[in-house]
Amino acid sequence: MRSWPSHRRLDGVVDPMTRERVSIERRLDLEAFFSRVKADPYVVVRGDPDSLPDYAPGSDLDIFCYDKEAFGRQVLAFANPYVERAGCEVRVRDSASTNQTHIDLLWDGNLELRFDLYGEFPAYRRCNINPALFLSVIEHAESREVKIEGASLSIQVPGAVDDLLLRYIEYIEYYEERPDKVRHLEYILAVVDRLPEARIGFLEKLHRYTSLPTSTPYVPSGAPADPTLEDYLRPRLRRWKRRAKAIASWLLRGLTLVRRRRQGKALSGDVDRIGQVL
Amino acid sequence: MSAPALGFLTGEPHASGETLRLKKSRFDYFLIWGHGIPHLEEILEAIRRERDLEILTILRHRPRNLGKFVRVVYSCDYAPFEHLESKTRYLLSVPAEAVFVFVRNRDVQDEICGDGAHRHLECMRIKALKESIRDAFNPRRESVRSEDHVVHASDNTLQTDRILKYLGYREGIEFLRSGGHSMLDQIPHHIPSMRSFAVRRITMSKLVCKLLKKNCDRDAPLRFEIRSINESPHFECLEGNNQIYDDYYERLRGLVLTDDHCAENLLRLAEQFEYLAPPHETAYILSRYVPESDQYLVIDGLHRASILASQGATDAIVAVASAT
Repeated sequence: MRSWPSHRRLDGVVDPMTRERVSIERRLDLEAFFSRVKADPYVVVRGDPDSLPDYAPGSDLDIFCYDKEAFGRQVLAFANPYVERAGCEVRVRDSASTNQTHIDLLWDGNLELRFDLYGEFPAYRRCNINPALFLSVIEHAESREVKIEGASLSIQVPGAVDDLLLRYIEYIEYYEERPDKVRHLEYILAVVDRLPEARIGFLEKLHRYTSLPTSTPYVPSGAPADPTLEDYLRPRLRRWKRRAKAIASWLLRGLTLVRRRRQGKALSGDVDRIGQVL
Repeated sequence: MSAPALGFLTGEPHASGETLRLKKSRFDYFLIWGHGIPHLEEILEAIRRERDLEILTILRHRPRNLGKFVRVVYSCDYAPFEHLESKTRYLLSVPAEAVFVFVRNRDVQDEICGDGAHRHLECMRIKALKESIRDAFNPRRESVRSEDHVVHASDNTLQTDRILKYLGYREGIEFLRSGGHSMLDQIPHHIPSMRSFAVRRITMSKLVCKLLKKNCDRDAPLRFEIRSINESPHFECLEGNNQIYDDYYERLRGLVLTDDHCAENLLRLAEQFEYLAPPHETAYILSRYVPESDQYLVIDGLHRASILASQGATDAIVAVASAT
């Protein structure tokens, strides 16, 4: 087994939730991981490829790879020293519906880093994607060279055109729920304004590999594509159940307060609230 | 000049210009008839010596009707059964017991054999091994090998599938495909598939195994007990007491213990064993957490756990199968 890396304190890492730069202490030595997988075909598509091999604890790393099982074994082999000497626990879970595997590295039950491995594109609702795009993204991956203490490290990231395409798909898919995704659109507009050749490449690839889902009617995100009577009734039943529960809770609370008042135990604060209930 | 590093092509060194051949893999079986069972260990050893054959499971079968059983075995044969009837008559007088050895044949060398009604495809590797076993163990008459074969082997996957279904495995050859999780190394086929697992370090004292009770007779209902690793026959074997391990396997081979193990293999493995060393970094001991006793029950990897215990390890990294 390889030597045990020490913890490292880092300044100026982007917090994935707040997007602010913070100081963190990271436990995993991702340089060693990317050195291990340098011969494997893969591409880091999400997370924050620009800050790698640094990462924020609790973040995730989305990776496209040809052979998800073989790549997963590399992740497990990388994690073995941490499990052996540092109290790390690894949890592996295959997605039920998609060709995706989560590998979580946890310390004391807290997520340190999640590897999301994809063997194909995740299912998108807002646009149809040709499955061949998955292969194209891996085949056109670019090596990002990082210098660390004199040594050079290579990380596979999407090519310039694929980066724009992936950002565009993410913007289209999630803008409704996550308005902050507009930053992808702003980024795309800035790049295509600056680089005309990137604009041509982006549009060509967009038309070649994606299409609007015209054959099926638009359904809001989260709703089933082909709703049945059960799909119609289930959310309504859930809503009625929630309301009934709230009413029962208020009534119970009111009756309790009335009983306490009769017993001379009600406080002034409670008396005001009896009025609300009754 | 060596072959290019393409996993699906043959890895054999070849002279420049020689045609590369795609390796085919399939499931085959050897059937050891009742009169061959006294030589079971030697026959298994002969199969183990074949580099491209991996023993997956060993099943012992006691047919109620030997005649019907023989007919089923030869029902997928290339020749009409009438032709085989005289060849198989001797089988009606051998002990009514048989052992099936199912193998993964990693290099199928099919060639056309026979003429006319007997023309068929047969793997030359399987055929050569079958003949060498027959040469060694077929009964002899006046020091000449008789044709009362101790072993029969499949000619194609269809026969393997048919026999597995006859033995009660409805899924046929799917039964022999790897179980567990695709990221875990060295998981035998009989472990159910799982969608999630955890990898954690535990103290060896929490690792326990399920063993058959010592006084459990072969024909009696099976009774299991939970024991620590240090009390297993595997550990005893590593401590120098091979007899307990041999007895345990001899008693239950093909019945409950269907994986291919023997004392020599265990001792050979223990000689240079380094747990989770490359290229077996995900060959974890597979366990299941038992919350009632706060222990981890070994599902697969008792041999590896015993070696670790004999090496004096106090902790071990194990894969824990999820409760579902």
